[in-house]
Amino acid sequence: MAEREENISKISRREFLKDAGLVVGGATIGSMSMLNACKGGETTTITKTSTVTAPGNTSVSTVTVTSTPSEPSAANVVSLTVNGKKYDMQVNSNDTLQVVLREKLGFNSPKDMCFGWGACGSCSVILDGRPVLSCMAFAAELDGSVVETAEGIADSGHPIVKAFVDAYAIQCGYCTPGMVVTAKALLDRNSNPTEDDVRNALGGNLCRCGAYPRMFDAVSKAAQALANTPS
Amino acid sequence: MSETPTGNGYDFNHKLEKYNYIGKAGIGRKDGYNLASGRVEFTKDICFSHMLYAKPYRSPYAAAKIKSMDTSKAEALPGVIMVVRYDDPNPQWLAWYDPNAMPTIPGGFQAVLGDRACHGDQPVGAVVIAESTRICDEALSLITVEWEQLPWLIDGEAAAKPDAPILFPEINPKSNVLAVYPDPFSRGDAESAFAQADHIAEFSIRRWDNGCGNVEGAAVVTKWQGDEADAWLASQFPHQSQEAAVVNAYNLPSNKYHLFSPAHGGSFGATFHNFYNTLIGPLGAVLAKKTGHPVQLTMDTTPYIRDVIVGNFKFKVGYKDNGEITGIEQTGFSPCGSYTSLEKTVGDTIIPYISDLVTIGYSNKACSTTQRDGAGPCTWMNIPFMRVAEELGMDPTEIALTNNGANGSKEYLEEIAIERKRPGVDSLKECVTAGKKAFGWDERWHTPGTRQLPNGRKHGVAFSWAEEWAMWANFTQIMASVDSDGKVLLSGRRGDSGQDTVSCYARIFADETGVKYEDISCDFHHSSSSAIELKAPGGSGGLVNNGSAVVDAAHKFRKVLFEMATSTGEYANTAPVSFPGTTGTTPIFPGLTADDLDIKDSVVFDKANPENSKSIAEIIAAYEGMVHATRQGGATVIGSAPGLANHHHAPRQCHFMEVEVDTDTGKVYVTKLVNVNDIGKAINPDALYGQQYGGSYMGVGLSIQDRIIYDPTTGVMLTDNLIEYKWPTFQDIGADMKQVLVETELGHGIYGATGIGENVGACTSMLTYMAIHNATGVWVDQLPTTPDVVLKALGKA
Amino acid sequence: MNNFVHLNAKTIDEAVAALAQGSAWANAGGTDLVGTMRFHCLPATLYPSTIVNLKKIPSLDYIKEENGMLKIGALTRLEDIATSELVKGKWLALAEAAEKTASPHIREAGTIGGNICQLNRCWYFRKQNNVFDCVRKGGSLCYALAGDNRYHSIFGAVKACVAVNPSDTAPALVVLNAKIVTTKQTIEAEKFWDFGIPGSTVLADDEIVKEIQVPAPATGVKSAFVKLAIRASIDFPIVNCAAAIGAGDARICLNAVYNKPYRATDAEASIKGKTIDEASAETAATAAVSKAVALSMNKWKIQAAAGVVKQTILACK
Repeated sequence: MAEREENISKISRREFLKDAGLVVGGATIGSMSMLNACKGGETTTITKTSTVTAPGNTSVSTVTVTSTPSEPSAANVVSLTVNGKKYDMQVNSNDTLQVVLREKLGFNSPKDMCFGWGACGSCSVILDGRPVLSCMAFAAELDGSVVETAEGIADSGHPIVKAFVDAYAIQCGYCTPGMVVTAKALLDRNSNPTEDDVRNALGGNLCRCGAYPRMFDAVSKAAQALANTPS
Repeated sequence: MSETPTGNGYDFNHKLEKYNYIGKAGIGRKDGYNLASGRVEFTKDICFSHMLYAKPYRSPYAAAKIKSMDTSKAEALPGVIMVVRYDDPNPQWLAWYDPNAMPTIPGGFQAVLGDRACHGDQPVGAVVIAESTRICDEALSLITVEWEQLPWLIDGEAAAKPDAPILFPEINPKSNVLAVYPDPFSRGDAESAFAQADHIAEFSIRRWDNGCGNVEGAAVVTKWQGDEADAWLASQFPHQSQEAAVVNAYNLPSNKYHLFSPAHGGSFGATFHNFYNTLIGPLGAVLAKKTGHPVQLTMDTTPYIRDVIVGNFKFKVGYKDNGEITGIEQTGFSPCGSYTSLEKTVGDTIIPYISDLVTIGYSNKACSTTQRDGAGPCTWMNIPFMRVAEELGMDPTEIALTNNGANGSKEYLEEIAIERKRPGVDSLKECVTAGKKAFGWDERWHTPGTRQLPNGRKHGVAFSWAEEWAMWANFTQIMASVDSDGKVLLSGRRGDSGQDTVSCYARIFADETGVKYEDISCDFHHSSSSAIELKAPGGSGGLVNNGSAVVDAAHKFRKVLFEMATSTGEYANTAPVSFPGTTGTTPIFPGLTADDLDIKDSVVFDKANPENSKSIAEIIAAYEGMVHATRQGGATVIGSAPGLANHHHAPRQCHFMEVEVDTDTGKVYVTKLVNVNDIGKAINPDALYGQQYGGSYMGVGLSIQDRIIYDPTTGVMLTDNLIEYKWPTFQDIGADMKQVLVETELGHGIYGATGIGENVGACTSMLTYMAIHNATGVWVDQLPTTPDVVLKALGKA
Repeated sequence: MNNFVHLNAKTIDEAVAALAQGSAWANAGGTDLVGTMRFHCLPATLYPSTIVNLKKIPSLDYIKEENGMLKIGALTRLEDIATSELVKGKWLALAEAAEKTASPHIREAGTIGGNICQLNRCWYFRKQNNVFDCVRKGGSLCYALAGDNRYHSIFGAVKACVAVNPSDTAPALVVLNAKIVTTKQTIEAEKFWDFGIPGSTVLADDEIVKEIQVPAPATGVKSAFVKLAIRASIDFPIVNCAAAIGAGDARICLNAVYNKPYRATDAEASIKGKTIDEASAETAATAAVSKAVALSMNKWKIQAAAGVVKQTILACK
């Protein structure tokens, strides 16, 4: 008969030492895989006539579909640096940063758990050094801003991504990019955060799977890795 | 005694002499890095050229019928492609309507493109298709509807009254009562039970609605090519429900509809709601067909899905001075969809009299059930136990041990232990002992209302327990194939909400075959056209069943590989699939038979002469010219396991909570939580601890704060967003949380393992009921125990 | 959300001129405005055709002390106030209130100016697609009055509306005698809030907040802030309280209990000059809610408010 225990605050330190030599798991995909053809969003003009056949061929009808691209308002030309690359583009007045990142630029890491209520943190990005909700910022107001997403943090080789994996601080993974972004922003300001610092910094990121306690471990692993990296 | 399942690949007592990967912590997740970097595609991340976006209109009323709808402004909005309406001329496939589909869930029968709303926020009447989600939202706000409001009721008890307006005359023209349930498991005799009792406690408890929600929301992407469609769908059970719905609705052969299951944000069980469960797939198919474009159909409401542990019950409990419970009666009301059963009380105790008489009534709630449904039976089981312990001033762990059993007897558990070759092992005793130690129970437990803390708050503790259960599964299969590089691919189709079963299956396969864990990869997302169907969700619950299929596949894999390694070309004639081009080749291990071989670290060797070895890749390569055939050919095996017959469970779980109650504000602070789960046998301890943490936050949330609130004047939900619906944050449970795994090997799954996914959240979801009494000496009469509930119990409001 | 014209104002004058054109809203952090725009919770007629972004206006983001007076630029982020050693020094209640506001992300974007100007959070008011066209939107009914008002006012209605002011920083500013400097006036914090459709302040349509000024508290004054919410993060308050007590004076203000921050003058009179202990705090807390009137579902909130007042007073010990 076996009995095991996990008490995260005790184990984390021990496991950190044990795992210190582990090889990075998972490959990094090139950063510029975005801008895939589909991400044209509203700039695509769809003017077409299509014959619609009901599945199972139960009925047939013809529908003519015509539309023009939605009009981008006045100027709203912004230059946005995302993960180190500059994008000059025209946005709609009511486009949030989240929409621009996901639907125009193809960065899928800002997720959408609370659907724009500002209540979950899953769409977190680092905007001009601050961890913020991309669903609550108008892209038209961000000319000249610098944005980091989870993809960029991973590409930069920041240890927080691997630390989340090693600490098993992931379940379904839907909130995880937002967590990673917020934790990275914390480490940018505080190289040796306490458990309270971590809990407070991640207080706005909901994880319905409840992987929270392991994030102490993840952040502490990443902090150690940063401390061991010669600057 | 339990019925022993039959069929290949299943043996209760199958064990390995040595476990290398099974049970080992710190291996990490195979899919972890891509998840953490935001690169894994969830359904809403999937995108195609010229893909369009669709969203349904939603009802502002709890019950109403559309008289007329004006969509002209929405249609005129730039970027809107079309608005599909309830009065579309192709009703036979647009307004898919089946009044008998889910008779217990009235919201379930109305089509999205019907004209009638059965609950507030129901998708109804129209779907907008546009070039972006933003334009969809804008267009939806431009739709105006003339409604005929219908009578509505939210409260199940009110709906059950004889003079209540009839809500669903199509189902029952005379009454809103679906059924009065005498629980089929009820047992014993009331008169003798209460006559034997030294005390009788009578009390009532109301558990309010809560929602598991789905972190991702409902979503499907559908793309037609000719008369075949590919679809990507966010669901824990995509194939069983959605694919079936599509092929049934359109009378399509299933080989024309290919359903892929991408990464899926936690949904914590199936969500038995019409939109989530059966309609979004067919509707997505229609919209994509109609526009001739790939379409992403979504709906943005998270806690919209109501959970199932709602009820307004009266309890009568008879008990003796020694803590022995003689009888439990539960009577009351529940809205339909609720899971009120005393199933766990029946299954886990020796209590001689158990009666459950619950009236189930229709209502205009967001009719659905989700599947942390064990929280219902766990709540109704533990509340009488908590009551008895506190009233007697006895340690609740003693009450649990006294009444623990199965099917009304103590012997039953002992028989299971003997059957599993673990005679004398008592799971609950193991769990209680481990938990008391981890929690410091003996120093913390006290009689009710007797400990005040220096910070002015009252200190209380609580204990809950139940069996460990796992979902009962159907026939399940997994495919193992080896490629030219000697690496093994496990595949099958199932939904994945992140339980990391990928690692579990790989661990089992590695230990059973001798193939290195690193050499095994898994594909469970992209095999929709395959007939290989794994039991979803594939977490610990599914693992109980699926694990047996993996073992079967592992054994078949070894057999086939060894035959390949020892056969001449004649193997081609005996292999499951022929191997062209191999005739006449020399065996890789000449003169040996399959029985002479073994595998270690992906190397096949002669047991008598281990120096004589070849890597799996070398064996595969020897079948020259057949590299591409190996996937489908002789090196591909299908492991299967039968469904399990239902029987009671021997492993137990128990949970220990410490709270501080602020009697000024009614706020309850959870300061310590210890979960003990007898997992039977741990396959992937990291995932198990993860499930325990998850259950902790969800269960404690259900106990103290998660609550759906409806407007009493309109029946509309007021908590349809994550500001008002309170999923626990990182800061909501004090730091001191400990997870303990006990491994008695008494489970009904592979190696004696059992499930855990739903269990912790279910069994912690009522802990504050006792903790508040232990702290203050007063009983709350409602869950969750929000400050208003606590202040009312304290007589301060 | 519907489309609108976006203006990135470069100066205060430019912003004010744009707002004066009518049908325009000023946007600072966006953490209230974006959601309000997105969810169509208001009738279409109340939505603006222009959004004026204030964030590009230079020199409105600062925390400084001048002649003992704390001056905070309107665009200062709540997180910067919460972590400012200067604010934590003499104006602790304000730092604590900022620190308890919403979630870290909201504090990183949300500004002090926006926090005091935010619209109410009544769940009828906020229900998507304007399902409840209430008095705060120009309608004729308060749905909370007859509906679920467990979190609503305990000090009565204003123009039949029982919604509450949800700001955490507001009561701290009131007890610390802050002044709000706008483009038109300098006004005592206590007089800054009022019933509006849909707003919650006395600001004119073309008026914006420029600066918060908080005098140094007298020697011996201690201030504190306590918040009751269901969750420790993200949530708006069920009730919050700020107090500044000492040097023979006491100022106590509750929020989320009324249409605007509620100065608990009875509690102030009760505790003023007394030694703070469990008994005196309890007495003052009872006084604080002596004029409270329960709605159909929020009697408990009166007790909760008293409890929060008591704890705030004790924190000033």
